[in-house]
Amino acid sequence: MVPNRLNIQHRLYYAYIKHLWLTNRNDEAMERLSKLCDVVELIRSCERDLQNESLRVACWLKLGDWKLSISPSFLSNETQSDVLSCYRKAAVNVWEAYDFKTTHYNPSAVKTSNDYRALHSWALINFRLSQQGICGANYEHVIAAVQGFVRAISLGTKRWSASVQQDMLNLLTCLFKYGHHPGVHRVINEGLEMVTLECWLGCTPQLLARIHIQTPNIRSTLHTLLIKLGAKHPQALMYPLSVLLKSTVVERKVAAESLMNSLKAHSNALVEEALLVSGELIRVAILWLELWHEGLEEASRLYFGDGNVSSMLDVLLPLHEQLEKGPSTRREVDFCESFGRDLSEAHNYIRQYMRLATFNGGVIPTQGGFVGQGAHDVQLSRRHNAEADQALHDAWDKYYIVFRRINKQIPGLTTLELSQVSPSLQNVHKLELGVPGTYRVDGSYVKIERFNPIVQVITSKQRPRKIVLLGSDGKDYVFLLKGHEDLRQDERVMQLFGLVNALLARDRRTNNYDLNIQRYVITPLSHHVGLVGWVPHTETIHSHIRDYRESKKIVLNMENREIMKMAPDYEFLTVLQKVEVFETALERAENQGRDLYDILFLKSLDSEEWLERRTNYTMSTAVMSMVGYILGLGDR
Amino acid sequence: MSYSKIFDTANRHPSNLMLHSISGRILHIDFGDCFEVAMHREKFPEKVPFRLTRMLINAMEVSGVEGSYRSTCERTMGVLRDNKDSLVTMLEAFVHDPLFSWRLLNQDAGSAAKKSPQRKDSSENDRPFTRNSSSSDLLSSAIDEENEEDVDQGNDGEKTVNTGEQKIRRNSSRPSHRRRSQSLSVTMGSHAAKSLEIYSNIQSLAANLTTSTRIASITMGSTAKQNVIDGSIAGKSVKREMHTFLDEKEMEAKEVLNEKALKVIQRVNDKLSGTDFPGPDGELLPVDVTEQVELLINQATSSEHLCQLFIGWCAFW
Repeated sequence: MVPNRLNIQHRLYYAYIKHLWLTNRNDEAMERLSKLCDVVELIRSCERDLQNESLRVACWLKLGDWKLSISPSFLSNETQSDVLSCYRKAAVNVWEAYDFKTTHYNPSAVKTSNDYRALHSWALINFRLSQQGICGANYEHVIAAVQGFVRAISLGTKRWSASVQQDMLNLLTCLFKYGHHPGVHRVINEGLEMVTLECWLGCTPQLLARIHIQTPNIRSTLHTLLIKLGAKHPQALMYPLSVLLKSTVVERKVAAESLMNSLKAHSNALVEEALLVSGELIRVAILWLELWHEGLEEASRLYFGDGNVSSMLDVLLPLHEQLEKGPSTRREVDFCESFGRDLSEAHNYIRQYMRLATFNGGVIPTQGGFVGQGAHDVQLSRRHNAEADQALHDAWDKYYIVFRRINKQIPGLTTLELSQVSPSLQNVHKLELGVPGTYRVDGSYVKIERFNPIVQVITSKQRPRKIVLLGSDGKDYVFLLKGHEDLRQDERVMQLFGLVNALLARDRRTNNYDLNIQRYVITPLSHHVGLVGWVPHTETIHSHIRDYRESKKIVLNMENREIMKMAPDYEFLTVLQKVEVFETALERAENQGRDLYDILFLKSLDSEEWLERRTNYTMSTAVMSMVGYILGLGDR
Repeated sequence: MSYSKIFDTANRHPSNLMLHSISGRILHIDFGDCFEVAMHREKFPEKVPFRLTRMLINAMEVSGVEGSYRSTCERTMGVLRDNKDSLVTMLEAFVHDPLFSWRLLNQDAGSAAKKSPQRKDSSENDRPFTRNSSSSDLLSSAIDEENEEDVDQGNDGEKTVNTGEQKIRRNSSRPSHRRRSQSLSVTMGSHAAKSLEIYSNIQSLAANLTTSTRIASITMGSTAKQNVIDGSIAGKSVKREMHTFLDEKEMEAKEVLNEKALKVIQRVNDKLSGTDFPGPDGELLPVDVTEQVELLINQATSSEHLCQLFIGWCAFW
């Protein structure tokens, strides 16, 4: 199609106006643009020309952008409606051009990035306005926002993946916040038809976090969506759902169970495998030995430290319960043989205590239980209290013996054999279940072939395990199985890094430098156990420095020694004094803090390699500095 | 590859940074502390926006931070600021998520303590997950007591049961314990005294087992006690309790949370608009990317901030 002359002139004029804006002649540009908008609008009423259409979208979009940018806080009603109407004109245009319900888009229409942007901007401004509503939300805006978001999402291309993700999250906010409103509910349900299921894969953590929501409208929308997602991508939901099944919050657990049941209808084997694997991995992550060690320590703190007997029982009783169910692995049998008798005696004392303490309507104290003051002054209950206390003390005598023995055994955990700790994991072969973190949007994934029978225990504070999975592609997948840690927050941070990487890869300023944040797989298995992808060839800065200093015969804490030499009472100095001591100590330090420099230099084979590493080091440090700052990342 | 120490988290700050031996890239691990929780804790608040110590700078080009570090910072910050909307949306979803919002409460130690007297213990402390007293005399006595031993011990000497026994004696003579035992023994019989002994023994045994000897080796013991307090795993369950506590009294806590969440998001917004550094009169005028990066680098490298950090952070590295 040959563009007519008028259109070319208009485009030229449009470019000129943009130039005016960029050379800071904002008022003039604005005035001319709003006139141009009127002109293209006029042309449209005479003839429908596709070239003109796209220009029209561009003009209105730009006008809206500019109006918004000169009033950063668009609180005044005038600007609000002004900006809104600009964006609306742009959006309505696109809306008409694409027939969203039947096909993806009208084939004769030219798909430009402005189309996406128009819908995105319009939805976003509506969303913002709805958020601003002082008393209650303005549902008109919410509805418009939802309609805009779903259409924008369906138009979004890879280039816009970062803002599509933003649209998805905003759409979810609309759902969770205003989904109870019947109008919003209807529009959302209509809209969900337009959004491809794959888009939701990136937001599964957010979806599943609200699984327990009670409002009927929202719940039905959310659960329908999840069931659909589960039908098409069962693999993607396996690990997260198995975490939810272990939730302590009843509503969440129930909701997860009902979802799991719907999944069982079509992929029963998969569900069974997922439950088996995640359950067994948790068993391997924290052995009974460690479970009791941790439990007794916690219980002793609650009882002796806080005098809170009731909380203490909350910790101990589930452990006893589990013990009474009997051992199921070789290790657990060993545990029962060594500690079973003592623990069951202790359990008897505890039972006795509970009986005595609740006798005559007494309550188990949540405070001051340690001191043993009863709530009643009656002679009878006092006698009972004394007996109850005696029982509790007897129980603790037993617990203490057990604890001391466990404490001695724990350092001896260095390797575990699956046959000892989890025969079922050793026996599984050729699973349908995917290796954590290998699932792709296109539905491809690597299946678990089997588990390596030897699990190494890393001798650090929390004794994480290094576990190797053999994938169906013949590769080894190494994970760190961590107990005692809630990895769900780390999982979200990785999601954020994904967004940042997408932004860095898209932007002209950064895409040439290969700036991205190294990510790794994080798969929570329960609220305190999870798998972390093993990144090969990495060591902590700390261990690099330690190795270096050892080889150079430099004391590891050299700088700190200097500080302590000068000021043994460093902690109590004033800030100025600290600065002085700190700086002098650094001055005196033997190699002037060139450890890392040397490490990079010495470990490189040639200068080229060294230069490349140094550049990578510098740039990745820079990127993480900025991202970490925005996130408010501490502890490093 | 000696991975044995890699994932020894908590309080071992240079251990949350990893270096890829082949590409030379830096890899961060452990993201438990977000939204400036560490900067707002009462004790040893982190005063720097990110780690940029002498050793890290020395490993860069001859000109240090001038050059590709600074220019990459500026480019990255520019991109982040231009995409403020997307980032804020994601962080908002994060902050308002029912799974995480409770973590923010840890920042607000004061008000949380008022709300739930039972949790006073955990919320009054410097770090969200610590227990026991955080009084400075405890720490100072820790420094006094442990300095000599750990200095002499030097490096990776495995702590034997023997030192464990010594610790028990120390622990029971720790000021706070002594106070407690005195006050308690007035009201209690011999049972209580024995219980107390069991308690301090259990706690110190556990702490001994879980404390890494290497921390002591770097920091000469002054943090070892900190770790005895922080270190034991059971302390972490306070987190879990907090969680369930919120689920129970969600409505009550909701208001506080919302307020906190708004503050957190406002702060992120400020950072991404360049209004994060108040001017001399306290007003917030947006600064451009170059200036923002300059201010951040200054803040991160200032000795005044570095020297005040918790010693286990290893500001001297």
